[in-house]
Amino acid sequence: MQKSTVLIVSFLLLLTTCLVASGKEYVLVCHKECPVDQLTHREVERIFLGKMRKWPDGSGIEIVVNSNEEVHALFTRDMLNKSPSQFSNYWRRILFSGKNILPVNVKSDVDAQSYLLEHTNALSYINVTNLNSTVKKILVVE
Amino acid sequence: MNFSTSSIRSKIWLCVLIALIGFLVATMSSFYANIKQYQNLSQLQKEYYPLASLGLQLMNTLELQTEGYEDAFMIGEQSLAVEANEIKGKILALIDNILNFVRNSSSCPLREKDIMAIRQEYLTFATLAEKIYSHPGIENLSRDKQKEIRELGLMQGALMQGFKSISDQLDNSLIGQIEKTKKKSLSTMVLLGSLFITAFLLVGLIVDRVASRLLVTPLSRIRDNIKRFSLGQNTIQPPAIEDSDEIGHLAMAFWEMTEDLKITTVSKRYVDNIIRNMSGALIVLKPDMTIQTVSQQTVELFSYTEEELLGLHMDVLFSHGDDDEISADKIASIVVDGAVKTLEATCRTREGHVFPAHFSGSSMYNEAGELQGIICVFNDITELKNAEKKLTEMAHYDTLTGLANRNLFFQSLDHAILDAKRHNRILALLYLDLDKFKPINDRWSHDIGDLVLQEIGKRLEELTRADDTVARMGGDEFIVLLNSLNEAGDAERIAEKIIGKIAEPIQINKYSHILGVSVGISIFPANGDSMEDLIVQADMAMYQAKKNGGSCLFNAKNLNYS
Repeated sequence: MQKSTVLIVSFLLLLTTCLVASGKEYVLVCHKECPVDQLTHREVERIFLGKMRKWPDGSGIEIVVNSNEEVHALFTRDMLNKSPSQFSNYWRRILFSGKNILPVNVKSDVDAQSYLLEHTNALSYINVTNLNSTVKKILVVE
Repeated sequence: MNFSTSSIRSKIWLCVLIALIGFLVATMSSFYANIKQYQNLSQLQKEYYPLASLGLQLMNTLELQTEGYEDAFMIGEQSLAVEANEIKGKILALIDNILNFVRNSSSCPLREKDIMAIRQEYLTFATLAEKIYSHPGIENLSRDKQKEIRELGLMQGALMQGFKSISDQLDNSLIGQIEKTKKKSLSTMVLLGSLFITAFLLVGLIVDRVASRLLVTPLSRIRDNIKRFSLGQNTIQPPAIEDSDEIGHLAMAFWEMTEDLKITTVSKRYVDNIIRNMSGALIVLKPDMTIQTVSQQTVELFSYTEEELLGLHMDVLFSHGDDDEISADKIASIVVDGAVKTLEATCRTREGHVFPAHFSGSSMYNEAGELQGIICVFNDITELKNAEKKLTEMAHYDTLTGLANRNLFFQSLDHAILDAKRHNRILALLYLDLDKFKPINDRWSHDIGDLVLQEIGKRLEELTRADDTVARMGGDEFIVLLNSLNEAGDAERIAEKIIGKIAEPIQINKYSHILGVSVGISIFPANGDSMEDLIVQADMAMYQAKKNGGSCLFNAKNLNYS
């Protein structure tokens, strides 16, 4: 278990370095009709840890985990202060305790955007370079 | 109770026994309470405490199992799941333990039904968990699988809650049992405390009653008798007694003593009564002659109060007249001689009034022969003295006129003749016989006659000197002794004066009475040197004067013996 953790961590570190080096950044996105334009850092954290489950209008939030290697680790580190595996374990523990099931998982920015198109309450993150008009960008403020 | 409670020993033992019984009751009840307490604590230790720990154990074991499943699920290690599976039997055994207790206990708050339900719930959970976690599959959980796991998680949470509730209830049951025991022991404590106090008071009361009845009452009866005795009252015969009753014996002995004393001695009260009522004034002196005791009579006689007299030197009671037979030496001699009897003394009251008294005294010795005091008795003899004086007067003086009578006159004349012989002096006798006195007596009365005689006596005394003696010889005869005349002729001059004075009218009750007197004169030594001669000569001369017509004198030298 320790070995694999070390491997993952070193891999992620390498990945982060690559991302920063290539100047890639993530952006928080949602359905175009989503009533929210901006969220605080804290709100984002709470939403992706399953603690805040509803938009201000009362509709449920559906988080979509984008495991695109370009942004996923960046996002979990930046927003949730967790490694991707910590994040994953966090959710497995939630599942184990019966509090919730795991969030939707997509493999790429494209999948994420197409999922967002179909789900008005969904929230995800993609590489900023792949941002297009099909989804709405949500501003993260401090 | 009466069979053996008469002696003091048994009375005290009875009191001690009562106290001991009280003590025994208190000890026994406290012993009983302690045993009860012990039993309660034992029950707590044996039943409730293990049960409470059973609840905790149950929870911990379930936690252990779920942790095992969690680890298996998190890392995907199948062996961990197998380990966790094995815990199932342990949990079921624990639940069965609790179930057993619940079945057997009447006071347990848990219901068998609930335990059975939760057992069933656990079985469902365990079976499902075994199925799911045996092949945890770490990646790509299907949504259905996720839902199953979630259900299992919820079930596990509910189970934990259920177990916790059981554990809490068992804890509460233990706490409740402890509370119950605490309350019980507190109420036992209160009960015991009040029992102790009640027993203490009760025993105290009973002992007090018993002691009062058996000891105090008989003793106070003796005390009452002692009081009566000291006051000189009759003592009361105590009730009949048993042989072993020491107090009764004491009471009886005391009563018998008082009865004996009544016969053999006299009480102070009796003596006081005698002293108070005796006629003489009694004074008891200390050996130093100060007053120790006085009778009521003494107080009255000397006008002192009793308090003033006590401690005074007895000398203040004496006036010490010239002819007293009493003196300090005389009183002191009582001590030596033992007694003095009826000595005449002049006494002085507080106000200074002096009176004659008879004094008797005798010394008083104790058994050891030491002088204890002097008992003095004073008898007021004023009356006696007066009577004595009256007797003397009656012997020497004429009761009607107060002049000397014949007896005194003869004594005086005898003295005077001896005196005159010694000093060669001249005496004269004037023999007087009233003229015309009998008619007054006859015409008026003897009372008037007596008044006349008194007036005559008075006039005669006025006319003579102190040295001279005027005497009434009887009836209407008087005699005058003229002492120490310068010359014989003086006698005739005095006789003339007398005749003149007597002739003056005597005023009695508005009436004047006129008398005369015939005087016969004899001169010593010219007419004789003996008393008899002188009187006879004067008498004869008086007859001559009467013959001569009365109201005149006749001198014995002119008597013609032919």
